[in-house]
Amino acid sequence: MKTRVRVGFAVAIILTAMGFLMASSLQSSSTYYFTVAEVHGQAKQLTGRHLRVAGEVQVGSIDYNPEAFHLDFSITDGQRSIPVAYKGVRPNNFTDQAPVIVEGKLEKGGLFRVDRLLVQCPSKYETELPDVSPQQSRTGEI
Amino acid sequence: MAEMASFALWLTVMLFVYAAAAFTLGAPANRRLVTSGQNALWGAALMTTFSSGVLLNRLIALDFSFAYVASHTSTHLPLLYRISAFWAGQEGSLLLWLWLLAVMAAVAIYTKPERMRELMPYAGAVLALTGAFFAVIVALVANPFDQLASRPFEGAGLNLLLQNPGMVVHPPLLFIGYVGLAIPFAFGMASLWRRRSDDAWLKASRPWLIFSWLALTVGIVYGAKWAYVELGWGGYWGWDPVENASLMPWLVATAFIHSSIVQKRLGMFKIWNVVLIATAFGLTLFGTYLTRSGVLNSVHAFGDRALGNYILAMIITATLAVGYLILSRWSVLRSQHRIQRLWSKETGLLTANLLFVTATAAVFIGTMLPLLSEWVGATRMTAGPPFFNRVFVPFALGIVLLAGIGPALRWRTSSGRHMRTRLMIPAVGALLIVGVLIVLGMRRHMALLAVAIASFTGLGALYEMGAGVRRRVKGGSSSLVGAFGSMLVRQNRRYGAYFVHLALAIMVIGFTGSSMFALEQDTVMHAGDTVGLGSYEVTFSGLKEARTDGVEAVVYTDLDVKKNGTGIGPLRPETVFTANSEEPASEVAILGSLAEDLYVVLSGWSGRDTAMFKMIINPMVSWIWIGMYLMVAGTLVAVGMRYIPVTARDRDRSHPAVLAQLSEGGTKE
Repeated sequence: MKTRVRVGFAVAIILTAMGFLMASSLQSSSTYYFTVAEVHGQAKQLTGRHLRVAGEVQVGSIDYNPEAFHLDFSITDGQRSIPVAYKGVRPNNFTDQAPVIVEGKLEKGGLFRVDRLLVQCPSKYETELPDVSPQQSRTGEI
Repeated sequence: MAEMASFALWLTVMLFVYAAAAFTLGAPANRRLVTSGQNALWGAALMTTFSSGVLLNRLIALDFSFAYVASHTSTHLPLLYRISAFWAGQEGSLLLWLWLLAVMAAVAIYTKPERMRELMPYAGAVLALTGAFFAVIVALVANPFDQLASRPFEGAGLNLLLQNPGMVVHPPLLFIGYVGLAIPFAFGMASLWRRRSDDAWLKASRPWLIFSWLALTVGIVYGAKWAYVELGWGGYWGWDPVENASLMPWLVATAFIHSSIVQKRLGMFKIWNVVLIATAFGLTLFGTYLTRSGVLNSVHAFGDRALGNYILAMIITATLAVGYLILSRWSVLRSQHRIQRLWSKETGLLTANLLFVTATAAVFIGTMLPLLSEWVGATRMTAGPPFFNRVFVPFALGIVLLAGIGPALRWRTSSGRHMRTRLMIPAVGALLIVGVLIVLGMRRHMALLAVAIASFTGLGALYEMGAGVRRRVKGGSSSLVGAFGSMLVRQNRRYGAYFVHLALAIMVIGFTGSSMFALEQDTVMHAGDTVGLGSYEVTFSGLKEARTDGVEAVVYTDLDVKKNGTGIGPLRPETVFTANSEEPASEVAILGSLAEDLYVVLSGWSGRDTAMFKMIINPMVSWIWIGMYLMVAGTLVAVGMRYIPVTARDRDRSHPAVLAQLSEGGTKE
């Protein structure tokens, strides 16, 4: 039937359009996503590429210059760390050990210059209790 | 107390399992067994209410011997936030899910409309099984009643960012939306189970569907508003996995609302509809999995793999069961009718559905990209806002365009000339608006296109409403206002839809303005400095400090703001320090108007007289929030009017539109 063919055509066009859009967007707008360890291991190949890395802020590594809007710190996975430079405002919950996601380019000297910095949403991050740690509590006796 | 509450959870599991069994074995003939299943559902609702009550009570009492209470509250926490701490963490929010599910299931099965009499037990079984799964998860893996070995003196406290009304409202609203979708899902599965091919399940589940959809809509937009006002980055949507997890069910649910119209009217799209509602509910489960399993790195996500596996198991089981039901009932669902005309309402609705679903698929792929890319063996990739905006916006605009064309399309007939008559004015109006913008200097193609489409749809909705009112006034009714009021009552579904589509258009204009024309600036200012941004001049006169009840210190400043030379009042950005949290929180200062928001954050300082600010001008952001309110109003009009009596005397039976409706069987669109 002619109408069914036309409807089928329209459906095909929509799906193809979406397919093309997705493919081209994947090419141009997606970012490679690495762990700290992987960046260390492949530092040579990854230099100059736009990457996303997830990790924690290394304790004691935060250096913030508010007047220049310059934030330096190191991102770590517990074993290895990468120095990070971020131009912008220091986010509110940005502290030692905060889980962060950074996006930017790895430079020749090993510095990761980032343009995007995301800090994990607070409520879902279980903090240490002042007196008792959670692990201890669940197995301890009354 | 803790033991009793935990025991109540296990009792809930047993009650749900019993209910599922009683419903399955008792239906259709064994009335007593079915009724006992119903009672078991009430029992589950009671038990979960009791457990939730215990948690709430312990939170309010600040009983730090409970691990959950100690993790999320502290001594000086205001009462409101002791309550909202309920859903601040993993265990509590899952308990909230469970409680909502239990209560809604009991109510849905209890208030059975006549036409659902046969299907009720089966729907009850589906809901009971879902409830059992969740109850097991809460009781076993995410129990909020774990106690600490020794009671700490102070709790960890609720992060300052969560201590505002937005975070009290946003999660429960979303959960109501998610859980509410279980009801139409259960009704749909029940209908499949019984090999029914009619639309009884659609009609019976519509109130629940609209109610959940409304909760989801407000939850999502309100969440965006909260992010905008509280987080200080100037935006409201980041395409973060958890945000996407709430958007995807919403898209599919909206598609389902529209395609169910076609099934009720023409008996078509039956298979599509069951697949759609199963997908919508499945996406809420999947969203729950994403946010709680740690499988994706997100700024929002929890990270508990064990819990994630339980949820994944539930999703896989449900998918298999639903798949089996649909495939085995395929022949029953084949529709009698075919699409006859390309330019008909049913084709329009089908196209809109297709756009919704492909947009959802795009968001899904983008969200899951890190996992998908790993699975296919490529380098792990991730997608951010540029990807999502590129892929999503064109399809969203297509949907908005269809919302504008829709009213002019007719059922089963080609609508060419009809379309021209009804769409001429909105189209011309949209072109005029775009023309004016071009004359005023706007050149960005995407923005002009978005404004054109949004104006077309918005003007179309206004035109349809106006035409209807005008017809009524001509037909001898009272004043304009009276005519409008009576149209709202008599044609509430249609007018409610017009409002919602108008609201959508308004929101799109808000999205366009704020995402494409924002101006941002980070500056350092010394006392006495004035900085210009756009048409504003901001003067800084030094920092001040204040203390409140010994717990907080606030560093703030009163910025003097002038717009085009006229002073428009002080703006007070703050940084708040509390004893409980190590990190200060920023209070953003916003000077909002219909045209734009001036958004200022105090990002740092060195000494009293030097401070750093982030200033943003966000055009038309308030249109987004206004659109949301209008959307709520429109939805209430569409569903709420049944409570206003319309007597037979009032019905204008001679009106051609009414005659046409009556002769077609009276089903309103």
